[in-house]
Amino acid sequence: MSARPDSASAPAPPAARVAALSARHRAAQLGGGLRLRWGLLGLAVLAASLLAGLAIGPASLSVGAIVSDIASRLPGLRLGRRLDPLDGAVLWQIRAPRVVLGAIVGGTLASSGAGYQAVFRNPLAEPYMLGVAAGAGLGATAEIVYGPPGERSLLIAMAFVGALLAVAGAYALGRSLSGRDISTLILAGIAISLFLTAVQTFMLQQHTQSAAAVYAWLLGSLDTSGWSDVLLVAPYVAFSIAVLLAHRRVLDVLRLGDEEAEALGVHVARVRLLVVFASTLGTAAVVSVSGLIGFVGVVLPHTVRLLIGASYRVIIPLATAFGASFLVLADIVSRTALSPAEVPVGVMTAFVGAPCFALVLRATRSETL
Amino acid sequence: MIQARALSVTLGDSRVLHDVSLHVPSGGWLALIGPNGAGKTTVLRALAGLVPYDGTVKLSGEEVCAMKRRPRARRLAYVPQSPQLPAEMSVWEYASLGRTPHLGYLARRSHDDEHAVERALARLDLGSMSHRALGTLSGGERQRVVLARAIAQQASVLLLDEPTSALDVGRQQDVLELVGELRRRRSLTIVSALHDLTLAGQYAQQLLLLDRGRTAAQGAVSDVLREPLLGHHYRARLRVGSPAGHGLIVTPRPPASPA
Repeated sequence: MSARPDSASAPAPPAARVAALSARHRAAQLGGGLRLRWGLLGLAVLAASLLAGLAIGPASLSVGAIVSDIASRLPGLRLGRRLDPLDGAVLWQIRAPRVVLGAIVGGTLASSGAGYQAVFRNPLAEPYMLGVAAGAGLGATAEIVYGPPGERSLLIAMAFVGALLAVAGAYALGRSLSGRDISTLILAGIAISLFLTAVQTFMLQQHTQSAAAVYAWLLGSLDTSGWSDVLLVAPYVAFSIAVLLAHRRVLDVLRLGDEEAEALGVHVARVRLLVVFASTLGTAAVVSVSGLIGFVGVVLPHTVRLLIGASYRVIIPLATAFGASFLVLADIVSRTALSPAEVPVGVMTAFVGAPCFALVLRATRSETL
Repeated sequence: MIQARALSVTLGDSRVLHDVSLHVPSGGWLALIGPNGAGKTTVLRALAGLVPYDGTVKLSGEEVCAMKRRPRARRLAYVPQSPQLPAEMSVWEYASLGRTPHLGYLARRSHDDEHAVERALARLDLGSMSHRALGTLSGGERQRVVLARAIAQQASVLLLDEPTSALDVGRQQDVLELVGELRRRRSLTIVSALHDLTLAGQYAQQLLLLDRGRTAAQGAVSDVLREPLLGHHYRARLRVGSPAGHGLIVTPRPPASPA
């Protein structure tokens, strides 16, 4: 063999070159600074949305009085002044649970949507894939049609169980057909959804008197029965969001494809299963208390992607924050626009969100083209 | 050191690799050559533990398929022929993914990780474009970025599938010389698939000629780059020359002119 002569002088990159690159990287960290600013903005928007949600309603409460009341309840501090008992009850027993639930539902739908989009590498993936919506819808319909009237906790349980069973069915069907193939799993989810929706339609056709109640549930609502709904979903949501946040760096590696991610030491099948499980569990939990609220899970992650960046290290936390804010704001509009009547929040999310997304899409596309 | 014995791979119902054996010592460079569909990529994927195989593949004495993924990826970097490069991802972010096997689940990149990425980018002359989006790069730049990611991985074995296929002749030399330099300075073990037989002969120490999933020839460059052997397995008219002792050059031979 006559290998090309080694040039002993072939240098490692000179220190000056690496230093220059370090400086450039630090300059690029301004991008990181930008992300930090977006993060702070996300938190600020969330705080402002929560305050607006607490303040706006038939009984007007000033933001100052709300902040003062919250400060007065902070342990160890002697700040602020409590609201009078009636306003306090409106704030803490009626409005706060609804606002907090809205934030939880919006944040969970948005983060779960981002999780699905990452593991399926499909921009149209959304939290209701794999049959969550159809399963929850069938569970809720069965309870409304056959269950005792007014049993909200039973309705929540049935919707939750229905959602999980549907996803388990889709997963079992997908695996039985072709192992771990992603597209087969999605197709299995579609098949299960179509089947369950058909069963639901049949049930409704047999019990048309329940159609209005089922329809109202399907359109989504944040009308709660106090803190119990929040406490019910909190553990599932905390688990779901914690798993997604913990995996956000690995989700970026999945963008390289399964084989390269495996070559970089990622257990792709395990990550995919865990992220799908966490996203589904969170979605099933929030859907069981809020009904089907569309739009948030698809559009919020894309808005963050277009405005800030495509890294899941950014998308997961910011989509959670902006999804929470978005649903709280949409709920304000839904309960005040036609007050005292209420527009279903699922309708409002599309009314408010679709034009906003169109604007973002238009602005970012025109910049990149 | 990487070693394979009686390596066979079955994909679906068909066996695509039959009893291939190889041994590359620490600091060695083996080039896989052969016509399209000969099984070069399959050998690399099997060595990387990315496809199930029969036989054994040992990395410094440890069976590759028995190793956990992250420890394996810390010791063995694989660069596919057509890697996926997300268009919006920056050069820096992409190269930094090479540090994945060195990071725990919740760990953040350390200064050492960032330094490894910076050095890899600088080595490949990519420093000036570290925050450019991958979608804006030329084919050659993209190939260098992929190599930078593998170098940032700091593995002792590099598996390269056609690392120079999209590069002009100057960049081909740059990349292969860089790989050679890394091999010498860090005793890296290299297994690469190469289409260009002349380059394979110039840079690798051993060649393994594959044809239809089987070993056709294996050994020193001069033992494998022989006209009858190459002509038979490539089903082509080839000339192997050695101009002024500058190594072997393999060129196509024009058809014999009609009488």
